[in-house]
Amino acid sequence: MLFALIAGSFVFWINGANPFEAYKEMFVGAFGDGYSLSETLVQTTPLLFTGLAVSLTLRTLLWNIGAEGQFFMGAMGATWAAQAFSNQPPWILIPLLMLSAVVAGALWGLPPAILKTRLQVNEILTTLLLNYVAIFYVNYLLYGPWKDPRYPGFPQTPRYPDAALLHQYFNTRLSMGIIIGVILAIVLYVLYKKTGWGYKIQVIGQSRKTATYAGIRVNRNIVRVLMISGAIAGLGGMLQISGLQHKLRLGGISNNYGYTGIIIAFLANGNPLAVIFVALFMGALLVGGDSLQMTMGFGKGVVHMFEGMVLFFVLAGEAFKRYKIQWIKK
Amino acid sequence: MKPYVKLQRITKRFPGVLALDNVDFDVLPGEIHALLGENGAGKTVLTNILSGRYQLDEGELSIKGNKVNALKWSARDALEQGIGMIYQDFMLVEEHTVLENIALADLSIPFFPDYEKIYNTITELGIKYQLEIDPNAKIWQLSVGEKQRVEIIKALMHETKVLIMDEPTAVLTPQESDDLFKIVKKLAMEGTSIIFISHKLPEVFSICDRITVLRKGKHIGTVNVTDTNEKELAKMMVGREVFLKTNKAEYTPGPPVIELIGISALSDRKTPALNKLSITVNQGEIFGLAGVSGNGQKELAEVITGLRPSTDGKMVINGKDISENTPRKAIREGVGHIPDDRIGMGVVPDLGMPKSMVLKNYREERFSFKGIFLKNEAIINYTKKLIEKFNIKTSGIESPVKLLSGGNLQKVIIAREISESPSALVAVHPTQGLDVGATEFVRDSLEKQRIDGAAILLISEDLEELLAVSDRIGVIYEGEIVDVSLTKDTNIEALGLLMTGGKIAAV
Ligand SMILES: Nc1ncnc2c1ncn2[C@@H]1O[C@H](COP(=O)(O)OP(=O)(O)OP(=O)(O)O)[C@@H](O)[C@H]1O
Ligand SMILES: [Mg+2]
Repeated sequence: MLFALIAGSFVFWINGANPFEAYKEMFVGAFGDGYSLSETLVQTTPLLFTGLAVSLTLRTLLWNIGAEGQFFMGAMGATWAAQAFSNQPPWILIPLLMLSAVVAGALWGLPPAILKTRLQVNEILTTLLLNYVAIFYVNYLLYGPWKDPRYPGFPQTPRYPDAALLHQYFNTRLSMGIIIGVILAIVLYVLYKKTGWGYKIQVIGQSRKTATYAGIRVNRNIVRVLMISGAIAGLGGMLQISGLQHKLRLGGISNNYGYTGIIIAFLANGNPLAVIFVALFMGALLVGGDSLQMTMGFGKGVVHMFEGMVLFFVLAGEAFKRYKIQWIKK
Repeated sequence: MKPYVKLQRITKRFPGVLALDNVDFDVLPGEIHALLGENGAGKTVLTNILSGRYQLDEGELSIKGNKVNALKWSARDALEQGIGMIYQDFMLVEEHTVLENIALADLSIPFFPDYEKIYNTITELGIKYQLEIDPNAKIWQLSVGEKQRVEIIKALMHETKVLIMDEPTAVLTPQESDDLFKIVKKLAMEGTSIIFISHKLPEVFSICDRITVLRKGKHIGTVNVTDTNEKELAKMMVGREVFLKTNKAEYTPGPPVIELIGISALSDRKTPALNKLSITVNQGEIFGLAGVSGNGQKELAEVITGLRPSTDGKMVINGKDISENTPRKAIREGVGHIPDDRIGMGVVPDLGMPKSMVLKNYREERFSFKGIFLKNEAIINYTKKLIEKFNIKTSGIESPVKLLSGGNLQKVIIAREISESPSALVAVHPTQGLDVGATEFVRDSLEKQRIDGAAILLISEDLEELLAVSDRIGVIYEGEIVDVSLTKDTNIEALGLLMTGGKIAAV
């Protein structure tokens, strides 16, 4: 962590800025006033969902690299529901959107699960590949059947009907998504700690052999876990559109949330409560970084470099801690 | 003679346990030195300190009379001084071949190993010490005895001055043990010192020169083999007299519980392992299964417990046809299983003991509300009860079970499997690696289960144990049961002959 900050300073310094000032600027940018805090939370929301999605699979020692695609599919599913049931009142429409997103995300988790359990195909590969399929499919919809006829030049859908939108609080862009995310994290935590299901997937994650021996149906549970994980990411996708973007728009769906979610889950060591804080940290990094661009006049590249650097060192530090790499003197 | 290594006033603590308390220990060149003590006495920890795997807290270490910095003693130092160790739980990469594992272990080998040379060395050592092994086999395909050979070769690849063997014979058949003793004696004659950990006193007397006894982390004494006897040693280890006689109740078998009719199954390598095998185990009996390892015992145990599908034949348990068996069905029929692979299969290695204790029954009402919400408190109390009942030594119930000493880990599994009064029990080497006191306890527990009406299939390579506890003994050879007789009608010689494929008529 410390290394990460020092490395970050170095990036600022070679770009001719005072590192301390830059950090202060970032912090202020992310938490300084009501508005920036709300922006940080807005960024945290999707990360919370993808982080939770990946942390679930991590507990069973599976890698879901596909949260990105599942997030897209969730957004897609929600949009479909918003169009299909557009004259329903909010109290019916919103749950429908959620349901549709959850189903779409879960279905996106299904093929890797089947390939994994039936044919032992590595889930890392299949979930990753499905990301591209999801993104291409959404592209196709936006350039084709779902394009808003009023703006022929833009790959986007019309705005959702008002009944499909989540209320944004205190004149900010913050919706109830963050609250749902936090509740979900707590629910998952309780499930892990207190239920037979949590115990079961923990045993599967620790040793497949022991789980089989104990009469736990390993394959069936792997399928379930990958689908639930997809559903969580999908729900994140729905909240992103319904709570923030208000229409499906190319480039407006995910800011690599699925991939950042992997890092978050890893840093949180699969613990859903820790995911909340790590997601917040990442969210702050994103928002603080943006504010740096504005106040200190750094280019986008410098900020990205800084963010990359921080992540790299945090991850490396974590890996060191966890695997106790030893230097053997020769 | 000057000792090759000398450990003085060694103290080692783990959170919650004092594993070694002021222990002295030394090894003379070319001697075979036995290290004895109950489960959890500290034998493994002491040897691990010598091999540099653990760092000591206090104490001194000298090599060939020269003091070294004991606090900084590392695995690499140990290797450089020719100290090699064969661990109780093997250190092999299951997915890799024998050759790769051996190459991996050797620090002097460059980044791109010369596989051909290593291959040749393996073959050479194999001939010299009769350690035959296929260098290209994958580790997971090997039997336990074969894995051990790989470990020995690994150690012999270096110039070994002191070879530590942590319970090497626990997993071996009598025949394999004899082969091992020949190797050990040969090495000792060539000047290598051997530190030999075992719970089997007869073998200690037959091959060792000196004996050191530990109890609860303390050094009780070091004696010459010629100056002592089994009784005295058992007393030094346990602190009381031990009786390894089970008082068997009369043999009155009930109806069949486990019935296998013409069962066939494949091994991991997809070769036939069980060959139209038939066997019946009745209520209230202990059926001992003798055989040289690799003749289908493992597969048989797995078929009965649902871990391995059968390819042919019929299986009936409690009168129910479960030819299409699964672990779940077997558990539901009350089939307990004490597996061979303790850490890998019998427990959840990285979690605390409660998680391993309720593996099979956490769905029950007393541990969870409708199988959904766990009653964590009830689970912990249950675990504590079993710890007490089975006298399991642990530094804390939430510390990972893989840190338990070998014998205590086995007790966790046994406690779980027999506490639920199984209708049938498949016990694979249940007393392997247990000290005399614990062995006595396990045998008594099996006997108690038998009196309560369980059908017990006891798979063991220890013929004396089979003869001591079984009612009937069957012999498995190349996937078939070649003989079944009442225990009183058979003896070690006859069984030994049958196990290697001989015909009883020849006796
Ligand atoms: N890494 C560890 N962390 C914590 N406690 C440990 C660790 N290793 C061993 N212990 C504890 O130290 C004590 C001595 O264990 P050790 O493994 O040396 O016993 P042992 O004499 O080899 O027994 P066994 O015959 O059962 O193999 C035990 O109480 C054990 O639980
Ligand atoms: Mg030990």
